[in-house]
Amino acid sequence: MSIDIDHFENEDEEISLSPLIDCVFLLLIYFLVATMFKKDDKDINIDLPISTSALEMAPDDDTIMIGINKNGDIFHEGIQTDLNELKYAMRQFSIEQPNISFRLDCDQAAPFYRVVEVLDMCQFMGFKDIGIRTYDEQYNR
Amino acid sequence: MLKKMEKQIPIILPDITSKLADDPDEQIHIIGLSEDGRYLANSGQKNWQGEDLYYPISNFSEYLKNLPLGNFKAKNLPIRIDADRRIPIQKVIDTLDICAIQGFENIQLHLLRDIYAPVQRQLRNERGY
Repeated sequence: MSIDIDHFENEDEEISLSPLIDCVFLLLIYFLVATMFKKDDKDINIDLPISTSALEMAPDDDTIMIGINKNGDIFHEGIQTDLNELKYAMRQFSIEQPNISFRLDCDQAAPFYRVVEVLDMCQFMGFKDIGIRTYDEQYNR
Repeated sequence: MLKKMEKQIPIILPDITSKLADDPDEQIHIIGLSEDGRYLANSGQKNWQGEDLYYPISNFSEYLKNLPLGNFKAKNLPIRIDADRRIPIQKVIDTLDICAIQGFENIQLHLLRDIYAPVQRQLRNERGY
């Protein structure tokens, strides 16, 4: 008795690409959606000051943004606040994240005393990493 | 996604000390900045109320170029800018830019109220109105 085994029976079999393509698409969609999760942009209406000696620096998502408009109103992460509330928020940051950086977005016409008040508060709370953002032509291109 | 770079002026804040005021620095050069954006040089004199007296600088860049450096290199000479508290931040940044262009990097900022008022008062007294 002999058994006839056809060694070439599965010759046409190949790896199905459909699951692989599915996986690739799922990954693609995942990364697309994940990168869309940005922090809420809370814009304030200011014209940034122009400087020729400002340095180019990489933005940091963890930076706390403080805005000052031309009337001297203070904004914390886009929401209008006052010095007392800002002081309270800074105290919390100084406890929880003492090395966090601050960025001041001031209007060109913002009164200098208001900028100094915020800087004084940063100094009092022990923050070291502070920068004043200036207008960059390349940024909005 | 690639992040865009931002332009910033980094600020170095002085350390907190228990002193109420800094020790006077004889070497520091004081420049005033009035509310209307006028550059003022400290005359080194005080009026009867003890207020510093300033005189206007016509060309700030030229003034910096001709500043006596003494033993300092330009970038090390400490310059203190006494700015009026109501002046727009843009004017202060312009001043820092001019200082940077002229090679001065050791700049301190002070806040004053009505910096030019004593000079104006003195001028009014001299002119009799």
